[in-house]
Amino acid sequence: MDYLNYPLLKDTNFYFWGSDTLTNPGTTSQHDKSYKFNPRHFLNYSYPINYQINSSGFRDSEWPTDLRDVIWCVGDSFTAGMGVPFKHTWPSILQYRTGKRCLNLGINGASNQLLKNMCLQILKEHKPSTIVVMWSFFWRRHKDPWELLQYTNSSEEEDYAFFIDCYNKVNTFNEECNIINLMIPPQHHNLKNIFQCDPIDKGRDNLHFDYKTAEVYVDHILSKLI
Amino acid sequence: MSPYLNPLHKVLILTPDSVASTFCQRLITYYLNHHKHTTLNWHELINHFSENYIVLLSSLSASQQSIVARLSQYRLSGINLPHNNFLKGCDIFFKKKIVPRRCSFETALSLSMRVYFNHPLNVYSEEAFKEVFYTTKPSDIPIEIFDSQLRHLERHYVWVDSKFTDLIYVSHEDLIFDTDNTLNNIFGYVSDDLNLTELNKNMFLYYRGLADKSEDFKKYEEYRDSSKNKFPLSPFSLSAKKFTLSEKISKVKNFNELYDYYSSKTSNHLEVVSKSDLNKRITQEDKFFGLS
Repeated sequence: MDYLNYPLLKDTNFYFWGSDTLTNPGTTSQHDKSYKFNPRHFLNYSYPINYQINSSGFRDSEWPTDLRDVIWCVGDSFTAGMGVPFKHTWPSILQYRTGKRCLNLGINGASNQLLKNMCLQILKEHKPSTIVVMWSFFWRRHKDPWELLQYTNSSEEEDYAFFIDCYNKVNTFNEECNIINLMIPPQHHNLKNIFQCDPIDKGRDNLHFDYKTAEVYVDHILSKLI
Repeated sequence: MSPYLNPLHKVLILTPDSVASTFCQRLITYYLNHHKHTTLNWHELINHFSENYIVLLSSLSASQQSIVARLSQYRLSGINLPHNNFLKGCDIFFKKKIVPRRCSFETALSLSMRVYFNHPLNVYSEEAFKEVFYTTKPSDIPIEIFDSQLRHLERHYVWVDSKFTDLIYVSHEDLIFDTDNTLNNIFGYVSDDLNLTELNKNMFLYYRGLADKSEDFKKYEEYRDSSKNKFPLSPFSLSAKKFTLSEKISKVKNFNELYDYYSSKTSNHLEVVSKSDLNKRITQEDKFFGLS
């Protein structure tokens, strides 16, 4: 299975990006009760947002053919930058601040299981020097490879254990790779090795963070880059 | 402000017409484009209405370029839907809501002339200007027409005050006689190689056959033509002033009757206008354009 080629995004694009519009203001689920679409905030948003997908199916410009000296940025919609301009995403800011090519492998709705699979494929096939992974909601599950299962009956303990398993598999696979672990802001946890910050700004959809929060994450990444 | 991306300018002109609002709108479009903010003139916002107001607000939100649009109360009457939420949405979406203000008497006079003489709302070329300017024969304007324009103006003032917040009032005099500073005060961009005040003056004189095209005029034409190629649906041509105040007075035979009528109708919205105010403005305008 090729987790670094996400052709389905082209089909599901309208569903995912469509939720960041005034006419279809997001989806709600039993797990996202804190989320409230705010039309005032949406209309007040000042920056142009354009979702452009590269040939691998990710919200990024085309990837270089030589992938030896890139930083791999893996995550869900907080990484893809739903509700914010591409230049406000944390991989884009990281690229701006390091001058190194940072690949955005953000997938809207990605589960930790999917992120784990992506990281393992990168580790196996590309021998990367750095992967930055922003872990997602514990409750999310995927029916391999891409089908998101919105509702599961698992308990919080089971969800957490499932995440720890994903986390360990990625972080113990290859000690030569610098793996920097981040957590999305709304997902509470007590893990010391995973950096998380409270959102200090919100994108147009009032759920995903904007560039100021992204900068805090990037500050942390820069402190961990070897 | 984001260090990674310039925010979009979202400008709404609120107008009853005949207050140089089209000129103002297109001038702002030119000004922002000149300062490297790709800006489209959406002209009449209501022209973009299709299914419902939410679709229109969504289209605005999806814009990748800065927007300058205009809205008039009377244009909403053609849409048989509740307007309040849409207007609230516009009030939030548009960061700068500009209200061009001009002497109410002169505005009503201009509106009445347009209705009575059946003039186009604006002229955008030398030919169109000449057709309007030289074919308008002095006539009496019926009081009924003038009165209906006064009511129209009052409705506009009340509508603007009640539906929008954080308004930026721009006086007609500032817009015409001190264009560059007026726009700089609103948007904060200064440029040595853009002189909009002189451009307006030169266009005025050129259309009347009193001057050749200046460098500012030629530069504006280059901008207009290249913009048309890039964004064919967005209008970029600047509108030309049809009549000065003294020319209006010469075309309206019952000017004194209209003035007396206006003076009898002054209110909270229709301000008192003295004849000496009018005379001062005639002198100022003629001097500015080099007619006196």
